[in-house]
Amino acid sequence: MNPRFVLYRLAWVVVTVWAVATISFFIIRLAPGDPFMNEMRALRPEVREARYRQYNLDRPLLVQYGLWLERIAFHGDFGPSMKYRGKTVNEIIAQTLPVSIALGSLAMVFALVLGLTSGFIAALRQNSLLDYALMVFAVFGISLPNFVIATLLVMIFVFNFAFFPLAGWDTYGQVFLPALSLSLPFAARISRLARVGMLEVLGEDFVRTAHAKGLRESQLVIKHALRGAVLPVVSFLGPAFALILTGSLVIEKIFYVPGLGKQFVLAAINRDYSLVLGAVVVFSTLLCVFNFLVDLSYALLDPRVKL
Amino acid sequence: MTDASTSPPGDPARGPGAGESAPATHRTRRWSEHPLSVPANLSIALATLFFFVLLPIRNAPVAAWVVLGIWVLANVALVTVIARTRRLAVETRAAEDDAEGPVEGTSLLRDALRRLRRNQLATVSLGIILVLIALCFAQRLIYAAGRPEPGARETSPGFFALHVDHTRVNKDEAFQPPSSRHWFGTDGLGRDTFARTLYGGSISFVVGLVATLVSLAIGLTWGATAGYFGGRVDHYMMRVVDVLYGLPFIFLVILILTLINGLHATAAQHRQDVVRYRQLESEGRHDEAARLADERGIDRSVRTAVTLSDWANPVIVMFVALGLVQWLTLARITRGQVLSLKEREFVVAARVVGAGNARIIFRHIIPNLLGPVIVYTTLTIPTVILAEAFLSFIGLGIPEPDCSWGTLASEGIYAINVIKPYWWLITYPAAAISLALFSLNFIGDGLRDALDPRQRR
Repeated sequence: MNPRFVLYRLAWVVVTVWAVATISFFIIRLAPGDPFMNEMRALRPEVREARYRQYNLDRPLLVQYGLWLERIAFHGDFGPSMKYRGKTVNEIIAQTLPVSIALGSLAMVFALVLGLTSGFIAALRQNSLLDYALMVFAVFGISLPNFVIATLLVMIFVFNFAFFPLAGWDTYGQVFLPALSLSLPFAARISRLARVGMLEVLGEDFVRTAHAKGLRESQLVIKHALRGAVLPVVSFLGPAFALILTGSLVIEKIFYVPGLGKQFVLAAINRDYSLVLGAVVVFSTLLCVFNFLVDLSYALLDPRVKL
Repeated sequence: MTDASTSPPGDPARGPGAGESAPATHRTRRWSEHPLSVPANLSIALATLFFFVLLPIRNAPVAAWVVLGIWVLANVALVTVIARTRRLAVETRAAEDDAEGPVEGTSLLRDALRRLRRNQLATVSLGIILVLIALCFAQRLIYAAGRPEPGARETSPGFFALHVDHTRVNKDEAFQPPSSRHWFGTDGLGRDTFARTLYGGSISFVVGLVATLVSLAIGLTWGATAGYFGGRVDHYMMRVVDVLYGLPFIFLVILILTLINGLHATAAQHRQDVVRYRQLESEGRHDEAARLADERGIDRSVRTAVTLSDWANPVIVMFVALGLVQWLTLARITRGQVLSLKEREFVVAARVVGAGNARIIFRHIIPNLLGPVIVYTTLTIPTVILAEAFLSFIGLGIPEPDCSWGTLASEGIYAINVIKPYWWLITYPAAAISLALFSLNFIGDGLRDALDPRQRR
């Protein structure tokens, strides 16, 4: 692997995160109103001015931008939250991000396991009733909105059978449903990709050769076909990660999971500048780093791709 | 793996008897050969839908069940006819195919339509989506035609008030379960869920179509320009697309929508004052204007907010924002197609024969470009509808009193819990949106199979 390419891609990660942070900064500052306009009672002018000074809001926009960027870049400090008085954004992120990451990675595991197995089974039993059924299910998974799937699962497992508690984030039972409903839409996509990838590989010459040499089908699939069949899935993992991030905004809201996605939506609506920007920076860093890793692993898996 | 076994399920292109082995597929293929199969499939699907609508209505009139019964019997009759004449139809169709194949040339479109017609899932989906669109827009038309005078007292609510008027508030009928009076029940304000579902559907469809058109316009232009000029222009234009691919767009869309919502909230609060202020300014009474501005707290940003919100309607902003997210893939597809098409033999051949640029573009490039673009567009519509529903769900979508399927579902989801099972508020909008997205996805898949036989799998 070419170290120059790796460095180049890493530089792109930094540039992308910076671009997103900058765009978000100016979008959110252009909005009229400020974090303090929805307080219970109107603030007295002196208090308002003190608040503005506390958060640097009285400076010109570009100066604010410079200060903010400097603080993030050199101290990793997102500043104090403007809505949760007395808490810093770093504290809020430290509390909520692990929850989101746990939820997201569990969903990823579910999706990979469900998607890959069903996709490969469908491909190996092509044109059978099982294949059709699995693919119709996959279109269901792609078509149904996240929240509909979540509601269905809640109706079945919580209301009808009372297997799982509805909401919260304390026990293992409470983790299962949100992760499952987060994973299903993109398990469906993975399933379709895995099926297509497997079919394509099985049609290739080297597979036929292996077959002719008398390799058993199980050996053939595991030793030769699997590696190539996983490729389309791997290249989908980047978009899938973005999908999971956005999906978590909804799922965390439905299941009352105390994650960062929920905080982000709330903060955007409340115009909590520092928290919104902090969340955006964290999310886009995660996304870009993940895409970077996917590219690297793609090169490792497919010898034809040169980095 | 032989060639036959790697070809797709329900492969409509291959004629009957082309060496298939699985008896199940054999049967379905035969069925789809019959000229009556499309109406029969659609009729069965619609009857099933009608049954599911009728089922939860406790006091449904007997007439409705009788209609359903007759409908089912008619379907049975139709199926019997098809079953009896299937072999005949298949043979006739095969003979026709053999007769016209090599002799009469067929166009790209006719070929594709024939393949599409034999794809049963796609044709049923097409029928269902057309019925849904017709219902949704019929509600809008009837509502626009028969809107009651504001303040007019109604004596006894008729068909219009009960089933079409999505704005009619009736506190006495809050949270009614489905009945013959309100087919889909009512919400907390006594509004009819049936009418609201149809109205929300029309908004969702419009969002899907307009945002897709926006993405189509940008993506086609961008991709075609890059592909046509090639070289350095192509390189830089595609670099831009690559960079944009990495951006977490949905977060930017969320921020833009909160910005617009904030603008609107501020504007709505201060509109009267700003109008008064502008009047004073234009009359030259600057002192009074300044005093008013001071008293009511209207500074420059508030005035800008009012101006902006006059032309940037949240719904329109949503169209544009969602369209802006979706154009990247389309640009890539278009660029790749144009790039490869302009070097292809038939284009070179056309040029050799003396065809002009215009003829080559319109006769050779565009028809070949159309297939992938149509397929991608069809698949973009459900994606956009889904994105709109997602945004509405987290509270950034269509503002009240308008509604879309997303807002209806998000209202519904908060209305269900163990104590008050208002299941109809979530079930019907969610079922509608799922049905629409399901159908659109199947149509897209079907179109891909029909338009691009090479890529079929």
